[in-house]
Amino acid sequence: MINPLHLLRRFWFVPALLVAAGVAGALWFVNAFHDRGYAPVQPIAYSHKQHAGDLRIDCQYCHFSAATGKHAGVPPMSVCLGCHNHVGGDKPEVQKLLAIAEKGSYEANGVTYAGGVVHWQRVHRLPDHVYFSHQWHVQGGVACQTCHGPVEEMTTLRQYATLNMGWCLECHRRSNYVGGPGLVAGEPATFTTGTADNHATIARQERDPVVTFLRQGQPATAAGVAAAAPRQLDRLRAFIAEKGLKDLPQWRAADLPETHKAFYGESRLMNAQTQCSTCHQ
Amino acid sequence: MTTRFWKAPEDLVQAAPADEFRPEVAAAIAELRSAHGIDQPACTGELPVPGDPALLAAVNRRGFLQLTGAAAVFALAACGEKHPDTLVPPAVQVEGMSPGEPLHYASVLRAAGHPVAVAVKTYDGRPIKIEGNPDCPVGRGSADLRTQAALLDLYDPDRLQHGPQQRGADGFAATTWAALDAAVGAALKQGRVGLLTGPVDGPARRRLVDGLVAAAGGRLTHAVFEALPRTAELRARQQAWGDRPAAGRQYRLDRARLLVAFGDLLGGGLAGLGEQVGFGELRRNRGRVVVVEPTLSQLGTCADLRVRCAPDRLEWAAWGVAELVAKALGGGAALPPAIARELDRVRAGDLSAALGLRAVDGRPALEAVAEALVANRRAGHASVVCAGSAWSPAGLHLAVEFLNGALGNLHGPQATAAPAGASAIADGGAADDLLTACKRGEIATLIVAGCNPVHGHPAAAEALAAVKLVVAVADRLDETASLAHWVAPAAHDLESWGDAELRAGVVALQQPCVRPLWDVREVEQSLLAFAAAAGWAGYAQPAAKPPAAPALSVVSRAPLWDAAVAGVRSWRETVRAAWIAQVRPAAQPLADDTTWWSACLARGVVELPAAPAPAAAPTFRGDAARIQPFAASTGYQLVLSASRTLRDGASANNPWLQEVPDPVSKVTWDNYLAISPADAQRELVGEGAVVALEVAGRTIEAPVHVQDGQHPGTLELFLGWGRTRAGAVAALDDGFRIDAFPLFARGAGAIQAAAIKPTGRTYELATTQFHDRLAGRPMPLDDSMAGHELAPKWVAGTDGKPGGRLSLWRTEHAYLGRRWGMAIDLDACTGCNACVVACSAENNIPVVGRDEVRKNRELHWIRIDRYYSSAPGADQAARLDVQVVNQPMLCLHCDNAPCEVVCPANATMHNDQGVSLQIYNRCIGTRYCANNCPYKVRRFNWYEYAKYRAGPVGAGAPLERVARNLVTEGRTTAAAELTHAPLQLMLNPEVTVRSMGVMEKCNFCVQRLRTVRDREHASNRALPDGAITTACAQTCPTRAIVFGDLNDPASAVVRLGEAEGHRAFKALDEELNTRPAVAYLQRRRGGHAHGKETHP
Repeated sequence: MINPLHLLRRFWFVPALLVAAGVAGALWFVNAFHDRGYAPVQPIAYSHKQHAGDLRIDCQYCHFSAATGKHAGVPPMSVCLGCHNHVGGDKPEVQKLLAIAEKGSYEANGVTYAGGVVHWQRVHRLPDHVYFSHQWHVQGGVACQTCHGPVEEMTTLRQYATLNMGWCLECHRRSNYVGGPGLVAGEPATFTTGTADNHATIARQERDPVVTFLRQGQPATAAGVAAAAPRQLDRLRAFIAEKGLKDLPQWRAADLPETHKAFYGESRLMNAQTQCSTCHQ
Repeated sequence: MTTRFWKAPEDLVQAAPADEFRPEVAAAIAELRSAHGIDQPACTGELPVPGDPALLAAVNRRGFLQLTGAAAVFALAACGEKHPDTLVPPAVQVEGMSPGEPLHYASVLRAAGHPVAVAVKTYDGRPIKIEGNPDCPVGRGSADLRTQAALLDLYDPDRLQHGPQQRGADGFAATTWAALDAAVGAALKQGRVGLLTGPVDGPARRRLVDGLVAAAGGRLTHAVFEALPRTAELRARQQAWGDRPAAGRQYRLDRARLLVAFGDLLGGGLAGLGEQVGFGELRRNRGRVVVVEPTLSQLGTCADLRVRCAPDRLEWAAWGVAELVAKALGGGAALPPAIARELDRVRAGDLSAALGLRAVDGRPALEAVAEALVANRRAGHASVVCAGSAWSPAGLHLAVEFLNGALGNLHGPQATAAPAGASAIADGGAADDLLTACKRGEIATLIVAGCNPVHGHPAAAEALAAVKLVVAVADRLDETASLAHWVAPAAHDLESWGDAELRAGVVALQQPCVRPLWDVREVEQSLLAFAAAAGWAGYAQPAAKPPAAPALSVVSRAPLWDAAVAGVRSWRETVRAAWIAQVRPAAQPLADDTTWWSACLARGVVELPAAPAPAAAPTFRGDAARIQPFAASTGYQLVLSASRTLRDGASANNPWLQEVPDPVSKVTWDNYLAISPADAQRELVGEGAVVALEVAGRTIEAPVHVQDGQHPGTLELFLGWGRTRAGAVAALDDGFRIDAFPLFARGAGAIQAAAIKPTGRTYELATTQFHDRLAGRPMPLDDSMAGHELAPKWVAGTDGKPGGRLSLWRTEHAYLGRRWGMAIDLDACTGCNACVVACSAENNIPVVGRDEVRKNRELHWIRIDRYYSSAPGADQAARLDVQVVNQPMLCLHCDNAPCEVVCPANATMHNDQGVSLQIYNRCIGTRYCANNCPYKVRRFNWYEYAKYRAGPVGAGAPLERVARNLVTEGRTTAAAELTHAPLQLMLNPEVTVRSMGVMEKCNFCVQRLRTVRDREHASNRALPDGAITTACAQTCPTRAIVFGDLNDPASAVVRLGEAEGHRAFKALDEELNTRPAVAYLQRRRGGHAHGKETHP
């Protein structure tokens, strides 16, 4: 008669392996049906770390419809070239970009990609039946990083969240979220996770000296600004110095210094998120 | 006793049919029952069910397990890798465009056979939905069936994709635009030139053609070709009033209180969008509709008084009415003596009896019609008298002119026969003359631009063969283009500039809404290029002003796309110049040229001060007209009508139009021969019997449809079908391809003697009439159903029953904000199907094809049920004089929804605004909901129908098509997607594409409601009532469908309910306590302004 305990003592690894296999299987099963960590190889090795992290370019400089539309949008080629016509021309990846623009198409794996634009591999994708709008989340003060993760640290963009329904509900079930039990209309959603939050961006925009400056009753017309350009610029500099502001203003094309106007011309380089610090670090 | 309604003839003689089983299932049940000693019930399975029983037999238990095992493996394998997807940004952001936000452009479409002003919804540069232009006074925001469907033509894979073609010894070969222009230009330099175009209206288009004629120095002959010529109508008008008509005619039904039609005005008839919109107004003004016709037409289904009449006697019935009206009104209106003499000859006392017309209320039918006209006139109201189609006999048109003149409909501010645009003026004779000249060899070069004479004209093929050089400007290698020497691919209307005249004094601008999908050119730009190549003055770009350097793209330094041809005057500039020269002074604008032009583009429609109708009545001069003496015919009379869905067949390759059921017969995908029930009994033919039709020395085989309401001795066949070279959809090989145009002979053969002979074979017409029957449950569809309780306070939640009622449902929904609801006026519905196509476009509803329709698997979320009704106790004879009700049926969004409680997956549920939703990714396809829905509005995806977008399931080689589409989806370049599956570009990105095994149904266009919520959220203001609507309500030309917020007391739907509450009912609510959010307004039969019709 063999004591089962003896057996267990001798073959203890069998149940241990079974349990381990079960746990591993369960973990695999739970994680098998979403694409967390999906990081496809892009046609151009664009680095979010370089742009959003090191250069501190605002997310909405490129993804400029995030606050106003359903989709955050992939930046049009003109936004890339607005800067890269002037900077970074010595880097191989930027040279690839310029070549695509110059040639009007490119080839990869035997397929011709037309249109003179980069055909990016899509990373984040919600199923067809999901209705999601960036607009309300950005306006509600949810940081980009809440859902997209620390993008400013990613050299290659990867999917950070599971983007499944339970993950959506994690937030929406909490108090004071749309769909949550204690929703108070008009009050902002009060949480941030991830590494940075959008409040910094919003606060920075609110501190924008030109906005403040113009609110103080100065002419905002292009003609008015142009006529008073030298004086205006002096006053603006004084204003910035007086307020002790670090960051530089959010420009509009009409407010540009004369020296910059010829440079930018009609190239639609500027958009609502452009700041001096976007270029002049 | 109440009126009986029936959908299918067998409902007349028996109760609603018992459950039907497939033969093999019925046999199995019978076996089981006999084994257990249970009596055999009446499940005989007699119905011939199409399908493949072998398929069912092949799946046994073992096979089933194998399949499920394989499915599980594939399901796991599919989880491994994310499906690759590409994001392609724009090179330069278009101004005003934001990704995912639609833009609307005002433009013009001509697919309906007449121009319609539209607002095109585009997503990221792709048109995805066509809506009527709300600023247009003719359409008032609505669009008809064919205009809605024109979207699919843009993405049609059968369009010419690879630039100009030249015919060589072995078929067509691609060539260059330069070679084409040079060849045509050289040919234009000498010899006589013919130019055959579609209708030419709009200031710029007229100016272009006039300019070409002038520039050619008399060598160029221009003619407008229309397959359905207006010759008879225009010549009758000329005879009647003595001068050549300056414009076509649009009947202002909105000003009238009585419509008397001798034939089908709607359907394939004369009516444009204006008449359809006017019909709704006529109904709201409590106007009455009287139809005298041989076949049951679309207008006949809406008639309050319908008189059957043999086709060749219609003319004399009209003259009989004219005589009575002239006698009653007195004054200067007297019948032409020749006609009076002929009438005296025909009649022996009672003309109605001589013409074989039934009595109405015990009086001769013609007296009843005439009395309605006279009473309406004496009450001070205007009326409209019209013939059905432009090619009706000339004598009928003459009688109609006489009646309209005598009734004062042609003059004064309330004239109901108003001048229409120039598009309706083309006399078919000019095209006939030009083709005759071609045949005689007098024309050296013939340019056929934007029309297809070989399909519609019996002599065109022969004529084209006699011309040295034929150039076709066409969007596909159609019947005409395939006979041409050179083919210049034409752009679709949505890719072209242009203009149109919608009605006298209303002009519209056409602008491209998408960059051309293929290497094509606008029709007019091709004509300009030919003229420039011929060296005609004024067509080359002036040398002094060299073409401006094309704008460089910021990005690629490559020239931006420019529609113009180098060195040739641009058509866009021509349109602009013509508008500034001709329209702008008349419009008396305040702004400068550029601002005015931009405003025109934004609005799309410009109203000019129109010339007033003549103040005095014109004098009828038709006395001298030669009349065809009356001859009583024996045997069958064949009537050729334009198809009510395809019209002349120009869009025959459009699967949406092929699959919408005919408004009257509910047959899809096929032409058929309609015969009277009386004749069917006599000839011993039934539904689907194939008969040999002998007419004018030809024999045509056609399947029979027994059409209730058709006059005995009348046969009806439809034009527009049987196109051979329209494309893959039109040329499906498993149907009957009957082209009736050879019999039509430019209208001369519209009514002719024929004979039929049964062949003994049968063919199953794909008809939807017998689908979705409501198991005989009664609905108070018209006000003849006395005693049936209505819901006078249907808007309020209690619907007039404060005590509540016994209910299985415990919960009441609380709608704190909006509560969406709909009212459908059965009086105004003409069954035109515009809502069906609008719904298909908005909601990505696939086409399933002929075979699947036969299996009751069509996917339309909204259908139009056609009910016949007759007096109680009436037998088969009642089928000759049926009354009809058209009832649009969609999901009624019941408060107590029977579907929602049976779903095991909670896939269908109510939202807080009263919409019953279907959540596709929860659906596991049990179909319990569809079984439990008393309205039969739920649709099931039996296949991956969306993969068959390029054509229906049954078409060609479906498996190959699926494979090709699957391969295409993995590709990434725009070019690859375009080449293989351009139809995917048409999908509405806001609506999920459903896959196999999923139930779907109407959800009140929840994506449109969602957009409203977003816009309100963004602007913090509630949108007004009319801004929120579903696709079906938006497009309905007669405004029979009204959608809105039931919680808003000022909304149109609530106001309508209050005004018309006495005839509002909720379908089956009383029986089943479903509490639908959709209310119907009964069809009025007795409640109209004049008279009351009883059953014969």
